[in-house]
Amino acid sequence: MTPRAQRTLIETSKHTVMILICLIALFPILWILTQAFKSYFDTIAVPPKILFNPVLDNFRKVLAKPGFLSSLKDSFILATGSSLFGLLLGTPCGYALARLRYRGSNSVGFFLLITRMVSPIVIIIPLNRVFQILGLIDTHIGLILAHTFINIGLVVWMMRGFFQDIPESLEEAARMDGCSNIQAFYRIALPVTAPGLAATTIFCFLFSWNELMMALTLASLNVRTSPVFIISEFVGYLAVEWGLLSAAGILTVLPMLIFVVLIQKNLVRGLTMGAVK
Amino acid sequence: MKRVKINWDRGAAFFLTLPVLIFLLAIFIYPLLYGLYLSLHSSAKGLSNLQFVGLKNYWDILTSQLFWLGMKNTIVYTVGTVGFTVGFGLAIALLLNSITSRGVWIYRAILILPLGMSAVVSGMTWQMMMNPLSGIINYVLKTLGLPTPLWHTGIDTAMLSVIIIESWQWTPFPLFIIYAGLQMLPQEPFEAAKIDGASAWQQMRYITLPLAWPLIGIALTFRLIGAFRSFDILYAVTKGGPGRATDTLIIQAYQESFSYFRLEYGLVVGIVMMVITIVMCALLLRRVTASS
Repeated sequence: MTPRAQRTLIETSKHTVMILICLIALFPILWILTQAFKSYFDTIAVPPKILFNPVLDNFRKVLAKPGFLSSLKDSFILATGSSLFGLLLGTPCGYALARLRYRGSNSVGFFLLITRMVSPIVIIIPLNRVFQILGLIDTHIGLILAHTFINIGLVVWMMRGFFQDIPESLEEAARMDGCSNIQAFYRIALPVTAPGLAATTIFCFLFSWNELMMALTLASLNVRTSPVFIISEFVGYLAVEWGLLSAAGILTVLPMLIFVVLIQKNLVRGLTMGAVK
Repeated sequence: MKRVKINWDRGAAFFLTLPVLIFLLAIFIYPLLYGLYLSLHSSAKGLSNLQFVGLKNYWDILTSQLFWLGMKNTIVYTVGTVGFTVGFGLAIALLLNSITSRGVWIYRAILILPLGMSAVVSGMTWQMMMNPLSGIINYVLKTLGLPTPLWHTGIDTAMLSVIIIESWQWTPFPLFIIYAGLQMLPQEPFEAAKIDGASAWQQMRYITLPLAWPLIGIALTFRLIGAFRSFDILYAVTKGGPGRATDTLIIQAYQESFSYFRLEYGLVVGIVMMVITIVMCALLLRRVTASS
């Protein structure tokens, strides 16, 4: 075999393996996508149908199902509210950690890391009680605060990384022109990190949108997020309506699937809280 | 280049950090202390009529069979998913890194997708596919003449099933961390090795892996902490069952406190898990974040 033929062979086999791996990654997503477009009898057909007559019944039924649209709305309110509140609180702190060596700055950073890594189960039971007393249980505000807690460590650490990427001389120049430190932060540093802010927002949105445990325990009837809706409406019944479930699932995850592809460049950074750039 | 040092006053640091700290004091520290207080009491007569019992709750729970069963399941689940995700992640990252054609972005875009799936939806989807009677997986196995397991509904196979689902969801995470690292490796050592006649295997064994090791370490650490607290997939697929086959600590903590109203159990297990997590962070993550 000539070296060239050998190289082609190696390349082809690499692509073959890669395509197989991609199929495994993609298969469950394709599977609910096809299930969502099947009629009731096609979803439970044995053998499973690969070719079928696509119908929109499941989507029609799911959208008409009481509570589904409002669960998407609730998830959207919580994800938006907690992302914005988290950024508002966390961005200044990220800036301080990036630029200042003050006493205790390492401890603040480590403390924030812990809040992100520890399972919220440890505070859920007492928080449930506190929320009941304050009237925050089963409200948007309550869950926005809870989801902000989940994301605050991420915001601080991610923004710290983005601020470290910009040269300090930029703010120094602004200070020469008479800006105060705080002004240098929001007039100079903040606009420069706009792409970083956008990536951080998407991350917060994603985590809040998919969050289950707090949404399950700190809310019940008034506020029901989309994962909670799916788990309480479709799981545990003997006759599961796979088609309806799939349609609801696809509508819930589709925006997030688009998000993760959009933030590819910053994905690793977000998932490691800025430890890997 | 001369480094320009901004002359920061303490006031600014204080002003910028304070909002976060106040927020965390209210939503984390206060509930945590309240939880610690509750964990030293018996709530058998209701939360408004607490009896101080000291460390009795801790003693009772930490010596119970249930807790150690949960601990065993948690360790199996954590080790299993970390092994699968980091192992496959590393293998796929090496393969992806060796492909130089332009279309590689398509692979990347596809491989990233499981990370965006809400764990509840991926749990449900796999449940559908693993259904012993009508699922696609058993249909394929049957057609190939292979045994058809009960998957998540069987006592012996439930743990493996949830590990498979969690691994499907999370393999892209170590994969992309390691891939990002491989993409940044310097080219010189590889060129030198080629001139010296090193084989592809030798290059990987003696250059790529040692250089990529710090990133493999980061992926391992984050997955270890993530899998230890993983709740959504277990809750969506098995809720700890069948029997107690997939009953991990976090599922126990949730079920005992919210389904059976044994608040002490959730509090104590939550606190124990927090201590374990802090120790893992202090031992593993401190180094990681300090070196960045």
